[in-house]
Amino acid sequence: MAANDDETNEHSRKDSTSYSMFSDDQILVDALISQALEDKIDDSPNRGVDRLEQINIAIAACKEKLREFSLQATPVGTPTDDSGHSIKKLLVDKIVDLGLEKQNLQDAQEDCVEMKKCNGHTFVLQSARGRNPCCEVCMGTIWRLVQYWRRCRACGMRVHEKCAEDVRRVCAAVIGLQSDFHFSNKICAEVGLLHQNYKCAECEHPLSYDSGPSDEPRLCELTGLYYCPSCHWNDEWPIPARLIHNMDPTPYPVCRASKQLLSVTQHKPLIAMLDTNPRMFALHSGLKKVQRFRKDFLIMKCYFISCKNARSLRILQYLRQHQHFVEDAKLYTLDELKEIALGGLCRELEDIHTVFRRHIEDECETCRGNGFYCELCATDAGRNQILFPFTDGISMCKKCYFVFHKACYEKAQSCPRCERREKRERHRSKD
Amino acid sequence: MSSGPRKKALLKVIILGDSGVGKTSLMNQYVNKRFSNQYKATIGADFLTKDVMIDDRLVTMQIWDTAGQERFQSLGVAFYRGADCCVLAYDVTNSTSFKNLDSWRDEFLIQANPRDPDHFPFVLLGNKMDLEQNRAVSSKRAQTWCQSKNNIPYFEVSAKEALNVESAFQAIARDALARESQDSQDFPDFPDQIRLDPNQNNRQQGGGCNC
Repeated sequence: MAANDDETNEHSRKDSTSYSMFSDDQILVDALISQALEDKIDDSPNRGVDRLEQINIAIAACKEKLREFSLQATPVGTPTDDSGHSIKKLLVDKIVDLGLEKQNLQDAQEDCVEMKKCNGHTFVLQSARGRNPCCEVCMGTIWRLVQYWRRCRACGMRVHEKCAEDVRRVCAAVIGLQSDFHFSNKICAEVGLLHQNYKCAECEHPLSYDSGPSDEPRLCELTGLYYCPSCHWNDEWPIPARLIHNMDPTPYPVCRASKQLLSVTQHKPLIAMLDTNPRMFALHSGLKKVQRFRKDFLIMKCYFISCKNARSLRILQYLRQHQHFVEDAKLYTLDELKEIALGGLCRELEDIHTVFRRHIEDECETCRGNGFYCELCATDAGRNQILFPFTDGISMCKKCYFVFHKACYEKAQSCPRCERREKRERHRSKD
Repeated sequence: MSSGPRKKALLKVIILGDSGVGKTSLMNQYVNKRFSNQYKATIGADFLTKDVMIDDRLVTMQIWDTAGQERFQSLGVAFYRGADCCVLAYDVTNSTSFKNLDSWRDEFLIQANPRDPDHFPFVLLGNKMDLEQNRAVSSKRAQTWCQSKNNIPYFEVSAKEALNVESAFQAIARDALARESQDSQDFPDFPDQIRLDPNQNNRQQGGGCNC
């Protein structure tokens, strides 16, 4: 088949330029797609191909190519491996892009008036039932029964149909979901109205205390700036910096933009608590406990990865609300810090911890088999006690991760397994 | 099943050896009669079971496959305890894997802590005997090593060609069984066992209900 020929050609081309630049790979992917499209059109010349169909063909071609790459056993460490990796990544990116475009196209086809895009917002037409909300552009009431209105799917902003095009504020999701987004860990003190030239920090509406309620200055605790009543609705939200420094979960008044930003980012693991405020772990018992659980979860994960029972039970799914707990023990979400400060979360994690512990220590023979016996123990009872890295009162060798009773390890001050390994290594190098 | 002195249907066998010698392949060949050319490092330890008839006695072999790579050995080796036989595996085309047998054996004896370390049943398997042209360790050398360790039985096998695997594991089961009848108490609290012993009262003496 023509398509196959082309693919093999491409392949040899790729091999000849194994140190190929990123852009070369890009061209390769594009060439692959256009070739697949041409083939398809050649097959059925009397029929037009619309964009949706084009996308489908392109996705299929990319997937096929990707499968081909994955099946190819490239020896690790060879230069081709590297370029193969980058082209694979490009293919995946392409598939994702095409998939998104397809989704958008399909949505648009379903109902052309459904969606309206503006300043990053995706305004979706809403139904006429329910309470009458307030439009964030003109501040007027949205009379649902008689007025069309829209809501942004990402940040929740509500507007009249006619106001959607006049939105000035950029969608909070666009800002909050950027990969380098992070919360400021400075508690913002107010800058003062003089500094703002007596104008609203967002819409520049003049502010004053004397000229009536529409000019009243309102402070946003997240930015430290003053806003007019249109841009600041006295919403209240816990402030990240105050949680980081003081574990203070009190909701403070914030402007609309800040509220939408905090609401969009509250479930994202963004706060590296251990780096920004390590002392808090010693001072706050709840946080200390949660951190211990998280450390244990990472160790338990090692057990679950090598256990087929745990895999078939999908035991790590217990942590699906806190997916990032499975990846590292460092990052917290705003919502988690709030929960911890309010005294929650600990109980929930304790329950999961118990389930995990029960699996490893009691229910699963494989996991139990991967436990430890203290080698340094003097007594028989101690020697026969099975230990795990998350058992209380143990010490772990930093080098080989062997586990001992804490008291035994402190007395011996060295790891016998490491000593044996070193001795063997010396022996080997002598030979 | 015929009646033995005391039936213990479970034999625990541990396979140890350097990474890449074919521990997983040997086990898979014996239990599932399957072989794959693809190398996949074992992470942590896991076991498969197989029921076998040894001299009219039905026993279940629990074969523990282990990680040979040091970086995958961060989990514990509690499963060494209570083993009935330890299979040391090396690759006949790789002399380092043979040289490392001593350390595997030592490490096993230290961690398993058997009652009589000198007479604990080990079996040595030299895998990949189908690659005769690449052989790096002679049978003679292996046998001498076995003799120096209290006459460990030695088999040359090939997991790929299924050569000798069945008979080697038969011998392993026999060795394990022989030891098991020697001292039956060596199994420390095996959790699958439920002991109904009227003399051994539970913590709540005499009391049934707490309320």
